[in-house]
Amino acid sequence: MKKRVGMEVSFAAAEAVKLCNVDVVAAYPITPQTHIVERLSEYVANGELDAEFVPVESEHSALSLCVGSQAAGARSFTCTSSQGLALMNEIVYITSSMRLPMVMMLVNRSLSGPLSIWNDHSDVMSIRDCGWIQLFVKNSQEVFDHAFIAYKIAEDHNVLLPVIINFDGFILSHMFESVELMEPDVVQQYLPPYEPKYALHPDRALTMGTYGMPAVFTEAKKAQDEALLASYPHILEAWKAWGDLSGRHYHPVEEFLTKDAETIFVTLGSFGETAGEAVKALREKGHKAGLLHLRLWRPFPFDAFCQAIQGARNLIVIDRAVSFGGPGGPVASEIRSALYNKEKRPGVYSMIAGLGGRDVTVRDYMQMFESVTAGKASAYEIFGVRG
Amino acid sequence: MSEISMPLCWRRETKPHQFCPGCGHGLILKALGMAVDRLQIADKVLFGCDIGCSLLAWDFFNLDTVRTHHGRTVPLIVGAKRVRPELVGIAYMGDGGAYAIGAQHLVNATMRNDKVMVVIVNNTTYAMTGGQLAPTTLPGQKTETSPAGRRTEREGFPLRGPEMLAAIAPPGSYVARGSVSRVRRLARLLEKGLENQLQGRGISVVEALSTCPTNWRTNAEDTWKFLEKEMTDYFPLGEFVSPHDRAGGAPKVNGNSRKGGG
Ligand SMILES: Cc1ncc(C[n+]2csc(CCOP(=O)(O)OP(=O)(O)O)c2C)c(N)n1
Ligand code: SF4
Repeated sequence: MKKRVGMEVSFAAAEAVKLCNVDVVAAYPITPQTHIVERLSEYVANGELDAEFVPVESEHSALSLCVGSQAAGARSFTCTSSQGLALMNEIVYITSSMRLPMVMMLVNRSLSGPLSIWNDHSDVMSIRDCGWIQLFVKNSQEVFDHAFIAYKIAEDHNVLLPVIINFDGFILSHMFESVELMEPDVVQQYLPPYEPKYALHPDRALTMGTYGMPAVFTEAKKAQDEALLASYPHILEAWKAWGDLSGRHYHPVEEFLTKDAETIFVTLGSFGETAGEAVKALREKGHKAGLLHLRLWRPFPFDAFCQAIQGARNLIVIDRAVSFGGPGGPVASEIRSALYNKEKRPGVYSMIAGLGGRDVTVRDYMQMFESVTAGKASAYEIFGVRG
Repeated sequence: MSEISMPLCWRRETKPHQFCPGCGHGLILKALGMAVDRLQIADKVLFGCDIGCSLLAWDFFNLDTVRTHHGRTVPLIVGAKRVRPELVGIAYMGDGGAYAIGAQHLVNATMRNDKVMVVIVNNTTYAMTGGQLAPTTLPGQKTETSPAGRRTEREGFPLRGPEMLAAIAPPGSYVARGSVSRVRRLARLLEKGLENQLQGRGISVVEALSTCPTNWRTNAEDTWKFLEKEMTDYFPLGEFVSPHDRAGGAPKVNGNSRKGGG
């Protein structure tokens, strides 16, 4: 029997990580990630989860430790936000280049400064090019499901790449939402115990973390890029298998009323939920509005994206990070370059919104829509900024 | 607190301060304010506060203040001091900032004998983030990430920071531990630390045992008991290295007991 319960999203995340039967959890506290790790420490203390829980001295150590444990063949997990991710940065790149299939939950929060504990995407955008598979989820159920899906993808021997699950700090992590839990045996059927393809083992000596001379470095990077791009069909397989098992189907881009839409909002993370309300309201007024939620950020789903926006005249891309001195928000810039070679392409309006925890309401989305469709919006705006 | 008892260098407009009722931070900042007043150095001080509950001191004083990032206050203050040697640099930080994420800075600044003062608030937990296991959490003490209490076989024993630093502190350094249970004495230790810097001798590190009733989930009586008994038993008060009795060679320990020096 399926069990639906209401709980804080952070606890749903911890519950899912427990069901993944991870071997190692290493983390350093940072708001708003703390509740996930605290709950995991309880599971380990009361015996519900048989894992090494290591309350390390920094995030740099947390990810370094996971690199070690994952390299030694253990399913490893860490979790952080904002400054914690910034401090991990060095090892984030190391993990993917070593092809270690671990999973990290990134509870998105602004990067300092000014200091802010609130939510935006400046943390994750700082590691856009880190070589991990990067997913954005938007509600409790998606957080819960993607723990299993992420390990399934990462550990696939055709993939062997680390995965980041992004979800919004506070506005999602600290909400109470209902979630349908899964029985441990069902999860096990989907996610069998970890079988490393390569692991450090004195009996079968190998070297990880090699030196790349100029003669091979470029080839190593090309191989890494190809591996990330080649993970795409396996990500779809993992979603498909989960859909068959749970009835919940996920796609790289999720469309809402896009088919005949002239103006489409593009969002990442839980902002899609409010933007969806705005689209409904616009439709009621007779406007051809739509919404596209980008669930897969890396590898970027070019084809699926282009197909979904076919026929649209305008894209309003909501970015929650500033690319200082750049031509637009990071997501908008990427989308512009994805569309550049298309013969028929929509206008791309880059709207920076929701920085440092600022609310973006249904009315705000409607206002963006109005200014774009009236031809009044510029190609790049920091929406609603004062002064 | 009456107007009279407020140190002159406190910023009155920002009082009452933002720390929780019963928090030790306010008392440590009172002792620090008393020390700055006594030495009449308010116009020379650069006060750096770490991320942790110490960040709530960013507008606490009428002193030149910089709020830094978690664990990095020491190198930041060292940087300012190197180019402005006439400044009196104070790095104010929690035990998490000092002994966990920023431990490397504290150790290396001590080795170099950088002429700054580090004030470390030991409240046995990461308070700002909601009370998780810190390097100073006592054996058996429950926190959000040690729900069954600190198990020394897995998490090790709490770090006695000043004792560790005393083992490597070069001649001219000053290392001590005080407590919010003895504010006047703490003010004196801080004053000595500042004097040490003013005289250009070397680094000063003063740890202050503090209270965090919010995360300990204790009432006033139990808060004070935990501080005076459990904490002070494990973390003895006193001066561990003083420039006067250490001209090289092995560190000497003064008043290394609960009764001595406190
Ligand atoms: C790189 C980084 N990691 C984690 C945090 C989250 N964080 C903020 S304060 C803090 C711990 C505070 O504990 P402590 O230094 O002991 O000071 P207290 O709050 O107890 O005074 C942590 C982990 C951060 N700000 N930056
Ligand atoms: S949480 Fe603890 S340390 Fe922080 S202000 Fe409150 S009592 Fe003080």
